[in-house]
Amino acid sequence: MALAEIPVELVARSREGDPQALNDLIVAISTDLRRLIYNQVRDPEEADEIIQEVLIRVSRHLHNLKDVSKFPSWVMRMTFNQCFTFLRKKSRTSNFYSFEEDIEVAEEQTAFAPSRSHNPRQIMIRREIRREIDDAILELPPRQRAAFSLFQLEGLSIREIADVLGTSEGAVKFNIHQARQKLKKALNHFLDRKSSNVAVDVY
Amino acid sequence: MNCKRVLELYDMYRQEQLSDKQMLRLEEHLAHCPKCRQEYEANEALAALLMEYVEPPAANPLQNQMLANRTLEALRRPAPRLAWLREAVLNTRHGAAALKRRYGQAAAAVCLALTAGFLFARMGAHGGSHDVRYVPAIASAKDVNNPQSRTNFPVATPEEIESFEYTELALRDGVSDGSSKMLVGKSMSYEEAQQGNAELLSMNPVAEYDPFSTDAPPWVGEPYGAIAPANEAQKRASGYYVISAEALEPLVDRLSEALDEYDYKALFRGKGSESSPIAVSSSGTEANIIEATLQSLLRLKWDLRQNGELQEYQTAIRELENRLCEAQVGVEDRKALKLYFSAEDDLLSGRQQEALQKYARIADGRQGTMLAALSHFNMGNIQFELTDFEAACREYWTCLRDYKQHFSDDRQAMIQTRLQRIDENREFGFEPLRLYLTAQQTSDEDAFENYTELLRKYPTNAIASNAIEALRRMALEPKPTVHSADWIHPVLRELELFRKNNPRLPAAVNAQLAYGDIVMHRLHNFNQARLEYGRVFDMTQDTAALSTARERLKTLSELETLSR
Repeated sequence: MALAEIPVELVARSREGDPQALNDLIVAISTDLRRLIYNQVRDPEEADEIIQEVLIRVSRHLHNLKDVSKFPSWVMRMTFNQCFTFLRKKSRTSNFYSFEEDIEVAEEQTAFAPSRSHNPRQIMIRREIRREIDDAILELPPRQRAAFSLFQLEGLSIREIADVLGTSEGAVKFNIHQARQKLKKALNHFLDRKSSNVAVDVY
Repeated sequence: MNCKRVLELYDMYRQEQLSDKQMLRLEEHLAHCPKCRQEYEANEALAALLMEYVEPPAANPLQNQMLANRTLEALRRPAPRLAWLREAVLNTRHGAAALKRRYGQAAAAVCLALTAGFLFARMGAHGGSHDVRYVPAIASAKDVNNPQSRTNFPVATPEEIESFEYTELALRDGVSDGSSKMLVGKSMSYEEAQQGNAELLSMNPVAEYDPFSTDAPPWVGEPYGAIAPANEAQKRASGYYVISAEALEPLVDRLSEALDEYDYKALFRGKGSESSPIAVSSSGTEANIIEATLQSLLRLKWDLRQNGELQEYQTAIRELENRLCEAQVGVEDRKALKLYFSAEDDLLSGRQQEALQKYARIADGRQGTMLAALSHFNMGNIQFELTDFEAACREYWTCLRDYKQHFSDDRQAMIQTRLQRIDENREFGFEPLRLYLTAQQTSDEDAFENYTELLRKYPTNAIASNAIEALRRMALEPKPTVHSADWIHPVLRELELFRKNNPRLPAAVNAQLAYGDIVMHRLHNFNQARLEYGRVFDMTQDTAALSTARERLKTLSELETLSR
């Protein structure tokens, strides 16, 4: 179920403290949240870590939500704040520290999606392209990444994005534009301008 | 229609928000303007590329249910309220100074938010609709001991505080220099709070700022201004601030949001901002101007690094360079600072050799200063990255030997760890270190080669654990978008080999755990995974490792139950 289609009754019942409703709500929003977070961090293990934190925060603070119809944007705002915090913390502690980082392994793991195709060559090509795209997206500063992915991948309007990210519409437009320019530059070799199609056949 | 407007319309076009007329004009323009058309086609191609390749992680009901279970379980435990603040205040000897150093303006905003919370609390009390329990805020030891104050405000007794189920929150509102004075924490006793607060006050004598004035404090920007209390009548309530549990809840959110929002970029944006390093110059002496500037820069760099925002740092440096003439520093210092900024610029632009030369000149010319200290440090980092470990070692040693006072404990620990790594690797000609560092920058295939070579040749090296972790990640590579089955069996083989050949090494336990992880998560063979984790108990007595194994077993049974 998409985040925008969550029935308000479910949110309302969860807000009243009905554990079954809260359970259903979390199950319903998790897929969407995981996608949103994954598009920010592009690392499933980190995404798992963040999503758990977001869900706990959402559940703890749900009773503060006055207007249940605002639930989707409220959740998204919380999600992005958590992502930004995470990325900032990561930048503080990583770099040199990552090298000596504790070998302790994260408790939670993702289950894994099966790959679409079984032709090894295709798999390899797809994998390489994806890796490049992943890298290009990760190169973007967090706010640009957030604005762009909400726009391009989630299909939110500029106004909705501004609401979620807590900035002005102008800033959102600017961020999207910047992100798009950078991605075009980084992924230039995949873009066949004449046909508007993806030129992967050359591989 | 001009080209700029087309650019604007494009976003709307993407979302099908254009009117027919706009659409027509857009098409018309594209037909005649090759530049815009090219731009448009590239945009479309990018969108198509992303659509095709950025696959969302697959929906996974099993995992969603697990998340829900964990969340509900976490809700049953008490929330770790204000954990970050508690940490900042309690774990730092100079709590307030640390807060200010770290959060600057934001700390001021925090204070303001708490003030607003007081108002909520009072309203709640008078409305009488909630059972509001008060926590006394402790202004200072003196005030608390003053019986006069106690009668005027609903102050709880020490016993009440001890038994209070919410976070005790003690604060004094006085804010003048962007520092806030507050003590937080369930773990803190009444006496400790008093004592701590008094200590903070003595460290930070501040001119009183009136929190109830209708003007927003000068250091508070727009986002926080909205919650500034506006009622002149509240002025009479001075001294104690009382926060109800109900009011606390949204405040905690606000606080963390305020802190989340805060970024160091503000340092440089603010006009004559108090926390701007150059602004310090007007009040400070020459030595600490430079010190403050450099400290801020160092912090800024580390924060922005890997956030992909190093450009911001570059901007900051250039800005500082422009403002250098305003700084009241001597000619020599100014020259050295200028050189330092340009070295940093070189480094960011990838001109490592140029940067090295410049740092070396500074280190020679300004011996004994913070500038020299940082130059040595930066040279060490560059050499380390260039895998010239002996040179890195020399620079790091100089930092610790001659410039220890210029580095924080964290930074010193980091330097020491690096030196230790270098030392451990010297007898092997730095080969393990090089293998590991280069593996990180290559494709999976080459990385795998490097890691296995490392594990086979240097099992006792501390890096071996890092290599095991890297291999584990490769095999688990839970990126849903990447097909990584091909690494499962090679990695498993390698891990098993490592464990068999080095059963007594602590790293073998890591290898065993990793083995179990892969079997559990990739092969979904829960019985075998259980056996693998079980082996850990035979291998080691180490409590950390054992508790990790126990946690894994717990996850395993959760997964198993869910998959049935």
